[in-house]
Amino acid sequence: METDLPVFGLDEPRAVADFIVDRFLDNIVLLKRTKLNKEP
Amino acid sequence: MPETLPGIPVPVVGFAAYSGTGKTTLLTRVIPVLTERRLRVGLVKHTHHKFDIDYPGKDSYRLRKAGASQVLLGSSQRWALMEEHEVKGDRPLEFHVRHLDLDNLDVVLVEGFKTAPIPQSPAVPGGPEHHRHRHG
Repeated sequence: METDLPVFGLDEPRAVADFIVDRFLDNIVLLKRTKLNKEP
Repeated sequence: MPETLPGIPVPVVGFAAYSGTGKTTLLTRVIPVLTERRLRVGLVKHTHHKFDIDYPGKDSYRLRKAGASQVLLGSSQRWALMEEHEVKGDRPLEFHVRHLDLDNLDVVLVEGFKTAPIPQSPAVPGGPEHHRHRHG
């Protein structure tokens, strides 16, 4: 499968976590948490 | 490339690399970093077709071998569902992801479903050359 995702090494777990958060989670988690906060 | 699977409300991110290159090791290091950040992480791992989490002699093993097609083990700390099926080939990743409690997860990491239609992967422990070879 073709991908434009970066490549990380075994010794880079923090970089992988940063990448996952920046690329996939920022908006979604914020949205989910905002939604949760609005629930009575 | 979609950022998640259709109908799945959380991002699903695959880790792809040749067997034995360290996917599991890397995941065991990434997961604590994510949980430190209070993210709730789910994981789906592909494994060989005859795997078994149970073993002969356990009551649950005997009950399954007696013919129960689904066996659920439950305790105060965890539960596990074993379902027998004779489908040829692997079930799609979506099938497995839908069994997770997605309302209580922020991200699902996937190990080993290398043809699944998800972003694959931020981690190829073999390094960039390995990555180009695999995907080239």
